[in-house]
Amino acid sequence: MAQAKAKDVLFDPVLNNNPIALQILGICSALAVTTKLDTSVTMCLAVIFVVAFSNAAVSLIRTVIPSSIRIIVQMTIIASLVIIVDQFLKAFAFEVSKQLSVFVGLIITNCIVMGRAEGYAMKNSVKSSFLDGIGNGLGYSFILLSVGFFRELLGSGKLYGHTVFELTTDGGWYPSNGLMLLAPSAFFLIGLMIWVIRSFKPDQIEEA
Amino acid sequence: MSRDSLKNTFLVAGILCVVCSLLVSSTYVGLKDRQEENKQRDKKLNILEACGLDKKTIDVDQVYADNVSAKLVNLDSGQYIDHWQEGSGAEDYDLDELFEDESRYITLNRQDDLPGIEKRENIAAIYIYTEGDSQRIVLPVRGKGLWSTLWGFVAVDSTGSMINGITFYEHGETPGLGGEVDTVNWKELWKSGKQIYDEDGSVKVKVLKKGTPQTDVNSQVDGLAGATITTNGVSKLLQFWLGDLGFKKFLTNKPWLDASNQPNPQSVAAQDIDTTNDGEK
Repeated sequence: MAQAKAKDVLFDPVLNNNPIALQILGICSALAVTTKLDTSVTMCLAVIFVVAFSNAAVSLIRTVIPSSIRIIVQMTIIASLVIIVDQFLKAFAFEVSKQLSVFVGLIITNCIVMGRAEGYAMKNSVKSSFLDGIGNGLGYSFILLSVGFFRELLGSGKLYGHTVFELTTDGGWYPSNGLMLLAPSAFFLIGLMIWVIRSFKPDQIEEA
Repeated sequence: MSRDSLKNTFLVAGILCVVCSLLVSSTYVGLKDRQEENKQRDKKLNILEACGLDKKTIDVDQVYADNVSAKLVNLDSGQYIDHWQEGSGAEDYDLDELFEDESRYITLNRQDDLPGIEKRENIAAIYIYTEGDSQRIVLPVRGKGLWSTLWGFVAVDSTGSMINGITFYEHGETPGLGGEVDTVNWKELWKSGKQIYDEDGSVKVKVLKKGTPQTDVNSQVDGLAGATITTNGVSKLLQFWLGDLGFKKFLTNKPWLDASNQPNPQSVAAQDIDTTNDGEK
């Protein structure tokens, strides 16, 4: 199999083959952690780390993994990495890790991670698997941060905890949009983003 | 050796497990101290939050050191006590260690065990927050919610009859539903002050199921939508911890009002004998 260019491997998943917008994977955490930007950012970093290193690790041992237990092997690697990330967050970003609660642990079940390990890392070199992991992490982050940006701005008038729109409850002019703080708003936002992306890239539209 | 042979399958699985477990356990051991520190700090923060302080505007360690003192309470007599075990005072209080000795706790029977905690310690660590003349008594509480045990603090005013704040620092309830018990909005509902006891001295403070009309604003709190079992758990744990098996005797005796209890914890032992009769009249 011909090696794709590093740049393509890295940036293709951001717009052309976005794991959330095109493959509709990893929606659960995208709904849950995007009410505020700082939780979104932490989640993104955690996912980028896990996908990149699980891809690299799976690719490194891809020639010796027996096919009968390959899914379990991938799961074990992914789960170990997620536990390590969770432990680091508890030690160095306690506040954020409390807010993220179970969702860090749930990265294990994030289809993006598993999908890349099985679909890409099992067939490609360590270097391009690692880049593919980062790329898919970036694609995930792109959606998460966009959703987080709008939800925090419209929902609580803040960005990264700093007030942008003064809320009416604090004597300002902006009445907060409570819907943005609830999970369904992330569905609407992700739907809108898919619409926008597909308007620019019509080849992503599935045949009816 | 073929990669799909039985031998290779076991070999890969074995090596992988060893490598992964080494990585995970060394991370845990390496970061344990730091995590423990965070937990302790979080506990302090929750004590201050129960007293109505805003974590964003204060230096937690400083305020805690200046305004909070930890005390031990004998739950059966409702008085202060110096040690919970030989040579260990309130600062070294450790519930896990306390439970190692059967004489230091009572096992609850099913009728009494409203919060589902099975064991109740005989000596509890409580915290007194002092600012100027006003005092808040911060009591540790715990009890089962839907999935997990909720660990938290209840702040009572110096009359011992009114809850002014509640926080939960550890729980595993569903985020977005029962998990909302530790959000600012819900904790805000307690700040107006809720009467703990009715005329007969039984606990009346209660969390209502969401949607149930309040009949007594002074002692009832709206529950969380979609979290009936969690909020029932909160009601039950309050009923237990503020009741006869919990801190009721302590809240009736009010040893914190006694000036001689304040500056020097050494004098507490002597004080116990004097005030026991007062408290039980």
